Amino acid sequence: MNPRTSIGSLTWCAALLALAGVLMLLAASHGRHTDVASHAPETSGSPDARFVAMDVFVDSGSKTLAAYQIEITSQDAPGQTLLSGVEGGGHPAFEAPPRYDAQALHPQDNQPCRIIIAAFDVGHDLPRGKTRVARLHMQYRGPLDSTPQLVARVMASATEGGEKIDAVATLTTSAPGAEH
Amino acid sequence: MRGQQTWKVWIKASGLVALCAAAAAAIVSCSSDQHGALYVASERPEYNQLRADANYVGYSDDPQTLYFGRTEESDQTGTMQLGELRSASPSAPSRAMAKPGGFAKREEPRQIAVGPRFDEELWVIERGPRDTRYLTIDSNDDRPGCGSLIVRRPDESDAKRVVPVPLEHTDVTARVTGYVSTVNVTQTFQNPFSEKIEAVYVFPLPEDAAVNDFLMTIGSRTIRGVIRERNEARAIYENARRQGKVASLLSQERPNIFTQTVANIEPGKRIDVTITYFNTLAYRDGAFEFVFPMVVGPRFNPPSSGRDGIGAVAREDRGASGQKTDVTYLRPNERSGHDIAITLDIDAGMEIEDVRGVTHAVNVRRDGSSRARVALNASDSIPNRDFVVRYNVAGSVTKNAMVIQPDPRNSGWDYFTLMLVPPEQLDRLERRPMEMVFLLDCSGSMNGRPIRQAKDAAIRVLRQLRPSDTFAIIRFAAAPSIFRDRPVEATSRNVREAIEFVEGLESEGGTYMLDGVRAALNFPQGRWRDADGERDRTRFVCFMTDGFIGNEAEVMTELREHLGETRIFSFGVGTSTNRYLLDGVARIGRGAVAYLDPRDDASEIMERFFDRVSHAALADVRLESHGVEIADVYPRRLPDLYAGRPVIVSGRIRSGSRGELSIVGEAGGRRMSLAVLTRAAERVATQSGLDAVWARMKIRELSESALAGVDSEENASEILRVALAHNLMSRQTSFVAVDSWSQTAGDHGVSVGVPVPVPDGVRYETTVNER
Repeated sequence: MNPRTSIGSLTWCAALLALAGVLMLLAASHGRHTDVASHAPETSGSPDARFVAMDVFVDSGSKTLAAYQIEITSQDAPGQTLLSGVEGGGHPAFEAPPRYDAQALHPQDNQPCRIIIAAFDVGHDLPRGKTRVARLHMQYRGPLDSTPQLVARVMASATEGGEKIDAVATLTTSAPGAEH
Repeated sequence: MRGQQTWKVWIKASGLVALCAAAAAAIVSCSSDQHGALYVASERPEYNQLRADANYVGYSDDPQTLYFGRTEESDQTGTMQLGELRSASPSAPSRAMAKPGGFAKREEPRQIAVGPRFDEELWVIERGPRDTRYLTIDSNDDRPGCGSLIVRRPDESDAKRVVPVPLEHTDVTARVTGYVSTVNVTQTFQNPFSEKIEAVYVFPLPEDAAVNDFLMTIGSRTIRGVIRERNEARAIYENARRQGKVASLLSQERPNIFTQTVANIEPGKRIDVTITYFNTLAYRDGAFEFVFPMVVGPRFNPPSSGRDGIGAVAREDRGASGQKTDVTYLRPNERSGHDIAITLDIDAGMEIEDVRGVTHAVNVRRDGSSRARVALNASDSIPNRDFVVRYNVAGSVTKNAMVIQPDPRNSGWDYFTLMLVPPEQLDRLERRPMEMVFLLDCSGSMNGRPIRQAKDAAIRVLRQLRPSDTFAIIRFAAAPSIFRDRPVEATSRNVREAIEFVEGLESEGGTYMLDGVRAALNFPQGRWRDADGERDRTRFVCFMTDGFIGNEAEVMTELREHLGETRIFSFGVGTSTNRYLLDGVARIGRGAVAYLDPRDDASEIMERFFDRVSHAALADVRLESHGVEIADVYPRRLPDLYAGRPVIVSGRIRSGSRGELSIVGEAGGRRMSLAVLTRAAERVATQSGLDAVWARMKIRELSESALAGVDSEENASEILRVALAHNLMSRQTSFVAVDSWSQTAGDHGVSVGVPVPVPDGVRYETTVNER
């Protein structure tokens, strides 16, 4: 069996536990890389609620990327941008949809909602450099010329050996024919 | 332009006394021209009488439906059941004319009504070969928006017409570790029509299924759905649908009934939706039981129960019941191409003695002593009854009875489930005189094998009562009726008369279960005397039903509020029983549940039941900890433990706890205690999915508290909080997935339901509403 497909069949808890195991090898959160999506989003339909796809990239430089956890926060008003689906990335190692943290997405006590996604792969064909690791599907309410204002931060990332990576996360809007 | 079309009509004449008393079958051919005139000619001279007797033909307000037959103004039954012919063309003429000399023309067609005398009548109609010289009607009769045509030849009962549906296949892969199962259900939707559609599928899952993952696959792309508050998820889905985005929405109608909607499926395109859930296996009478329900049985909704029910309607009548959710059903002479495959991998953690498919043909492959793979045999892949697999394990189930999952968030509190196994000493405690109340569902859905099995079961128990016991019998359907107006002693004469009463019961009419439950709870209670004085008898209600109602909450609320010291043992009778209701009634009724599949030996199951109630139960059960911190244990009120019926509880346990738990209770006036090993012991296993199982049990507890009106608003808020935090389906939350990246052409198309077969053994005619 392909190790990637077997990972895809793990449960959410198992995945989180495994990811936690990888990330425990790292120092405290070192995510310092941010990017605000700046491209015009692909939109359709009613201007007051349209759907936008946003690609999530991680640049691991010369290191292989085996695990990541990314936090994406919205600068928009509450309810303006709503996550409506999480898709995998372009590299085979991360083509399965990443897990998202439900508690972060639905916080209590009026805290701002966050999107935290995480995935790992322990296969041999791991990516280096800038890799599309996920695609987020969002419902966005706002003027047609506006875009969701999202900030991405790498919370943790590692090689297959558990080595910490200073990776950078970026976001761009996405549409068919503009594959990255 | 409409062309000429020929229709053939077969009439099965079992009930058509006035029409053709001597004929077993008759054939008439009819044709209509472009003006809508109807021409009738008998193909076989021996049926001329039929033609001569028929005096009525016409269209109803629905121009696609043609009625014809015979009506007798003087007949006390009024309107007679007529034949029905459905045109594929929405532009059919609004009125037909009779051929002079053969039929009388009726200006105002009669409404079809099935009277008691004629409910056996069956007119089955098939459109004949098309005359291509004239025909211009679209050849696709089942395309969205069109009428339907039903085919069944009297001499070809197995020749069922295939109805195209947008659900092609369901694939179930399940893995059982210990007594916790992880199940992936993949539904493959494919659009067989020539225009874009939205597919709507109402389907069952186990009532304790903790659904916590949802994937939508379009070609090579897979999108994970997001859990959201129910209305918010619905709004997102509707926006996506209107804008031509492929989207899917999973909503809970009942803890065991869900609606899957998939929007903007283009012609010929395929979309897979995969649901993952966890649940625990029941351990009943010496065997673990894995159950996967395949079809929702047709529910009856009493008129007074509001519009939150589950309607049962013909496949083209979705939305016609007036209930919030409709299940659409195939007629008996139809089938869809939808099939199902199931694979179950069992890792019991101890030696498996025996694995067997209870309801279906299965292929079993053993992998060592503790593992087995069970696959549904491909010859048995029609999804029309529950799939049940039972397996026995060697030795005591107390081994590995507790499993723990570390909290992924490192909160300091882990999750556990624990199987509470009744002490073996219970077998040695004798019972006191009892009062047995039989509550029998005699509604129309029980017709046939189910009512027979319920009767056999009741008679079996009646014969086992002692003269010092008392009993009562209450039947319910449209209205409850009773055997005697108060409990009677189980003398041989009373038992004999009771058996005659039971044998005479027939099933018909609606399921007014609430009335039956009230009658059972309010029935005068007998007393008995011993050396210590006079006291109430212990009342056991033996509740036998398929559970096909849509007002479960009303019934469970009634029980919760008026149960008193009564104990209710529910028996699900049939192939696709409403386990949410049956399990809930037993849980609230502080009894136990059992299921009687038609393939089961009712006598054997009832003997086990009687053996169970013949021994004292362990009551006032609680967990005592020794060096262990536990919290949030569900159910809050631990149920009584009956011999042979362990109960599963779930809770939180302080991480790294060392120590021991004890199950403590009282039986027969004696205190009993049973030790349970915790993490410090070697045999405690770890298991994933327990957080979802725990959250689901907590939600159930909150939901059932809300039934009794306990802080219902606060409960709803807490259910929402728990469900969102644990990524869990509930009545407050739904999964939604939208493909925002791509766009389908055109508008959102029409909405198409996925009709399902009525459960095996259930009669369509007595359970499904036809317009």
